Amino acid sequence: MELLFGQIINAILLGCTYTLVAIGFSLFFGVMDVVVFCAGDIAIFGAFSIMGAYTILASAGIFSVLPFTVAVFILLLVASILCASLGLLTYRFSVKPFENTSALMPLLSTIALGVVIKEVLGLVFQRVVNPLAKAAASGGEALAVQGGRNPQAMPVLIAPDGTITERNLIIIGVTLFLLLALFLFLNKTKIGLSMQAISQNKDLSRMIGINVNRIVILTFVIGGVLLAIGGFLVGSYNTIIRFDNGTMYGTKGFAAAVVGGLSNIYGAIVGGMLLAFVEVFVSGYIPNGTAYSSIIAFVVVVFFIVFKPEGIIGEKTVEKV
Amino acid sequence: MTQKTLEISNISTRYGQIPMLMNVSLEIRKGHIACVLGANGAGKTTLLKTILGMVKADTGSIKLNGESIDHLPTHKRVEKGIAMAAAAFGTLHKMTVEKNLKMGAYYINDNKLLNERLEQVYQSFPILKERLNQKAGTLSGGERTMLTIARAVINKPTLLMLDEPSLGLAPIMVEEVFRVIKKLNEKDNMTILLVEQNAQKALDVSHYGYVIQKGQIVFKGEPDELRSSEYVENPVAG
Repeated sequence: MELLFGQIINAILLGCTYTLVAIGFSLFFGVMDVVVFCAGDIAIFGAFSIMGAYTILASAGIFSVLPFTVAVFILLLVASILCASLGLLTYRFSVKPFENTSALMPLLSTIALGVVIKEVLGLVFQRVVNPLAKAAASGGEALAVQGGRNPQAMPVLIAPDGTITERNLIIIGVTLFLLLALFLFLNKTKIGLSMQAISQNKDLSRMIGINVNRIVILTFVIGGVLLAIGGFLVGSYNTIIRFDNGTMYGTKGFAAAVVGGLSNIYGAIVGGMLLAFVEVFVSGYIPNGTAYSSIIAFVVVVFFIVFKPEGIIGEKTVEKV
Repeated sequence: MTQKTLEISNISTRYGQIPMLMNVSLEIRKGHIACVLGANGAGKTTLLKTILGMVKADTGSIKLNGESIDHLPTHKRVEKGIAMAAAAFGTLHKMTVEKNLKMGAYYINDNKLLNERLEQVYQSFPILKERLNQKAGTLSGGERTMLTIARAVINKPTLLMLDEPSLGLAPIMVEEVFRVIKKLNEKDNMTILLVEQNAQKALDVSHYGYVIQKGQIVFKGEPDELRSSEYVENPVAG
């Protein structure tokens, strides 16, 4: 019984991290009708920017001057600003130039941008001696010198002195808070409603008088901030991060978004949780399951794509006359 | 002297290399209904899109109430008081009828004024009042046309542009739509640019008419002159 409870909590935690990345996919898809494949890499970039900023601030002795919560807030702010800028960059250089071309072009260009982000992370963090690396593995010193292609320790910012349970509760709490905030933003503010309008009918939105360009840019900024916090949670949940984590998180976030219904934000939540539950329960209850958990999760995804291509809560596309 | 709400002179536009409008000039007096008649592909919708700035004009100028709007992007033109209703553009199908109307009133920030306007719209379009909480995607063709017109009217626009309001509707709905158009003009004194294939119906409500063919205005005049011209007797084959 206790094991089951633990598995459920674990699945929810993993689901939280998938969900936030999946929502990034959904948001971008909604306003531009393109799959922005570097969303996972943007999230991991967020995690690394927190780690990098932490390293710099720690060596500057900020943490002994400022209260811990203020310092955490500053780190999150830095990551959000960096990821929002990266979101803008993605839009400007990987999406907008291909606005009137086939859907394959932005697909390729965002995959390419994802590779660039990954490699830059690998290169930059090669030189950074991570003071936390010692905690990451037993061969701490060697790890720091070998550089960025190895796992890096994520600074423990969530409940640093607390228990694992406490940390878990905070991760779930932060995710719930973000989802609620996003829900209110999308349904109660003019910008949020405009985003919905654009995802439903772009030409009509322009005709109504919505400044479509501005809203699309804002979506990429908001998506960037969301992904930054997503990356923060990914790092905090896993406690270590690697420069190429973005590939797996991007693929899983995308799969979650598709299973839930790509144009539907709430679908991303359902899809993310589904994927996480399958993974965790396969690892937990099938002997040697950990090795297969991702495979089985993706098999489930394939089944959903075959039998419910519009997604769990996506709408069937109705052919219009 | 009567004021001109809209004055277009020598507008030309292209889609890629294909010319869509060639030296189109047109004007509408305040409080009038002007109609533009033409077959499919003659450039009627392109003309409306050009006026709204959704399509860039290569040459020519557009003036609203004597003020040039050439340099303004679409959303600024909407803010200036040009509203376009086109059933062919569809609705925000996942939102309720009420939300569609509220999105139409994008530039009304005052809640009290918004509710007032909504009430007025319900009075002019009683059909919609029964459907307020229904998703726009579930409306019938006639109701959808009414919604698109209502959505444009809620702003009390300086210029209301209607793109083929009778398209695809049953005859009884066509009657209803034109009755609404006439009422908007007579009761609310709205200036309307009406683009139609249904020449007879359009001429019945209009003060002035234009015939557009292959991107050029080929005839203009009072409704009676148009009725007796070759263009309307033998409607331009599409």
